[in-house]
Amino acid sequence: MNNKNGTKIAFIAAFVLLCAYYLSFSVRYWLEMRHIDSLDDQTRVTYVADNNARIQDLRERILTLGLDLQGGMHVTLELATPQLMRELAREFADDEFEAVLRTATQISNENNTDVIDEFLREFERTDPEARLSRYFRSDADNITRRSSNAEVVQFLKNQRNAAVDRAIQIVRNRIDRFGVTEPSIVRQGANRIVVELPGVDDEERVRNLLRGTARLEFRLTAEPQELLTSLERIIDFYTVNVETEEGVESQENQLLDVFIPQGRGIVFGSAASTDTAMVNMLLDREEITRLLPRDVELMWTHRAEFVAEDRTEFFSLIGVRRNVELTGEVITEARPAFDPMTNEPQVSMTMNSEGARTWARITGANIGRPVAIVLDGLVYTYPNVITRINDGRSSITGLGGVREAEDLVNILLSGALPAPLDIVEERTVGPTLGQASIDASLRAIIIGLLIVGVFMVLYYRAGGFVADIALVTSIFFILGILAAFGATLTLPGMAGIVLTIGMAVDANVLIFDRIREEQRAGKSLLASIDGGYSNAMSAIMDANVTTFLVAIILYSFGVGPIKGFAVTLMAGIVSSLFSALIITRVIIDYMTRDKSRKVNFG
Amino acid sequence: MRLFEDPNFEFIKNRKVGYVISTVLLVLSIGTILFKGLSYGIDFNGGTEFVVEFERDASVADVRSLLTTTLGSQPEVKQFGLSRDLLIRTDVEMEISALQRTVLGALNEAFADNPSVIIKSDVVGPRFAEDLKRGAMMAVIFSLVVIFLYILIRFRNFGYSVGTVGAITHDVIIILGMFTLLNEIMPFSLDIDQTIIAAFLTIVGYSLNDTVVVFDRIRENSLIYKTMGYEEMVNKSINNTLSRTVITSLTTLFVVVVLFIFGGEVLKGFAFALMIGIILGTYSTLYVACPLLVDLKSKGVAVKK
Repeated sequence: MNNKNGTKIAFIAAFVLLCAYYLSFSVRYWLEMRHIDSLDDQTRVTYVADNNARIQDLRERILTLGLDLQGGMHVTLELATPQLMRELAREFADDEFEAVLRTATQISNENNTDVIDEFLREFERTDPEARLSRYFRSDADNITRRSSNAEVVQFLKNQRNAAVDRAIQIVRNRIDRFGVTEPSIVRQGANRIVVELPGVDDEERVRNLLRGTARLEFRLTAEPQELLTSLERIIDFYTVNVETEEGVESQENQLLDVFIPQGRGIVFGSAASTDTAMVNMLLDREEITRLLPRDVELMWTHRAEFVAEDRTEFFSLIGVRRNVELTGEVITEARPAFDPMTNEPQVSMTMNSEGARTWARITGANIGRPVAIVLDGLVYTYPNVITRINDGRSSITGLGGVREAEDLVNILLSGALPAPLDIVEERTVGPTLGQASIDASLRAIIIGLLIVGVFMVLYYRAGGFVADIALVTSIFFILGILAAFGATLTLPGMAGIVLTIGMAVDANVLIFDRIREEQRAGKSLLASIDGGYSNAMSAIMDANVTTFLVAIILYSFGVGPIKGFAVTLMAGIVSSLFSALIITRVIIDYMTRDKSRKVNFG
Repeated sequence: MRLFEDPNFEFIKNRKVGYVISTVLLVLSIGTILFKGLSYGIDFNGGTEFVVEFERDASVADVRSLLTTTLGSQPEVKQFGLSRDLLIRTDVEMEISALQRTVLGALNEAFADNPSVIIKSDVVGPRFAEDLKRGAMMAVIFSLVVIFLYILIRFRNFGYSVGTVGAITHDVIIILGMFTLLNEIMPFSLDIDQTIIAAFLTIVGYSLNDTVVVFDRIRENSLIYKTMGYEEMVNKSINNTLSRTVITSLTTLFVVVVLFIFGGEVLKGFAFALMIGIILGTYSTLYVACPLLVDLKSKGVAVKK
């Protein structure tokens, strides 16, 4: 018996030391941070510089707090597959391609299926004989005119895969330039990227930084007179004559409810930020686009053109040519600058020689007319060309501030994304709320411990006291296990710890109740203890294995914080079993080491 | 201190009472769910939600009416813990940055003497929400299947599996019903989201835990008291484990109540689900799982000894 306990004690000691080792990093990091905080500004800078490597090393091994506790931004990005397909089909795309792709996109949105598969299905439905290879070619991947549809689909999926990898690289570049401590960028599924940015709360900047493809375009603009004619026709299209009850005829116009027509120069009209989605819906119809001048499309301005008294921002639609004269590929240099006249922030760009030649030709041929500089489908500026520009210089104006100029330079220099990234999920927690959550959950843990602890002693007396020791050690083990596996402690994870406090005593409750039963049956104390432990075993095992299974399912389905909950639950089961079965047994054996001693189980 | 020292309650004999209560609760729950529909949070519906913190207390009604004018449709506005924190949820289709600027701009203009900032924001796209919903549904169904199989393998008996999964399904449906019924009455959100699904699965785990301990005793007693009638033996097993059932439920309930009171606003719905779940889980072990086992046996469904 003594020998058996020797093994147990060694086992316990090993477990305790291991957990202490993994938690020591967190404690040391915490002390380090307190020390840094106590220094004055001057010494702090030198201290951090001198100890940087050591601090970094510590930080990598601490028990990380989730974004919901330390504050920060969690963003899920989705690569726009239809846009990538358009890009890949570039030169071969025709109206039919566009029509099929649109239907496929719609179907895949409704049914949550892969747009590439839907595209094939839709394509084969419209024309069973047709071959996808009509639209896609690649020498590198050996996709020719004779490639089968299956081969092309595989090619598209491979391309998407590569595009996501490139997108991750570019997003990482952008975030590195932006400067975030400990960002995490991981792929999720076929076309999603999860970005976690601790401590970041400037959401708008980050959004713009992440999703911009950095697709810069220089385009010519619509003929003002033609644009005006189209505007009149489109308004007519939506005008409906209605007769009121009194028989008075009046006109209603769905479009004009949300849209202010302008028709001055290349400005088509304006709408409040709340209405732009509605305007898009009304204008993005085939009957309407047909009314626009040939080769012209409408694009929103990047910045509000004017702000109403009630602070509503109004954006304008600009008539630009469909044809792209120059793209961002010709840009060799970009830097933030100030407009020498107005002193407003701008981004100055330099083009390579080929770009400069085209730019000179375009500007030369369009003196007095506006050109549009378009970034990611939004018109940033549409200045009038004053003179032919020969040195390949251009600038993006109309920016919100110096920061925006800096971020834009970052985006331009990090490289263009293969296709736009849409933000499909975003969760931001401010640092104050994070701290409040930490405080609240710590309070819950302490109060929970106290209540359960006192209750156990009241009910099981000495036995309850032993169970309390097991309870405290199991919380220590949970933290140790989390630190050892590099898991993140989230708010639901904290809730998991609180819950574990309540459920961890279960094993001991089962054992102690059995011991009481054995005693009632007239057995001696030692025999009762033995019987209690061994008879309760099967129930304890079943109860915990099943809960563990549920935790695994929770882990595999959950994301972010929920995963954290599942992990603490699993760690809690392992820790509390170890504590309740082994640690309590050793303590109780010690308490009953000579037969005269009594242990009261209530 | 001892509660239930060698108790002898007639659980099985009075199981009809349990059946009646459960049936009433189930019918009410399913009726409420069918009538009102489950109310999903933005995780499963998609949408935008932010928590705005004012410097001083702010009126929910004022903010709601102001934003209705600004956004052109009525947003959901609720208190979020402190009376200066408001949760605003809208499904207006607007670029998120523009939306936040519009909302904050309007608020800071209208309540110029009570400035506000956004302390938490959640945006979930409709497609992503659909994925999350599907995942959650799979998780709940999958966990029930796994439990059914585990119990079947461990107890080698259909009756135990049906009893356990029946009790768990019973718990989940009633909690869903209560969430739907109470959502508008409670001062905190009871919308179904990912955290609530996590709570449901935890309840599944807890209810299971509770049932398994009693079943384990039934299996053990069925070998000891071979001459005893099945009903009597099951009833004896429930009474044998009653002290444990009550004590564990109590300690767990203690911490969950603590979590509900002190755990902060984010975890309110989660803690609330667990509170109901623990009470239901305990009840369903005694009045659903065990009676089902007994009645399946008397109907001749394979319940081996």
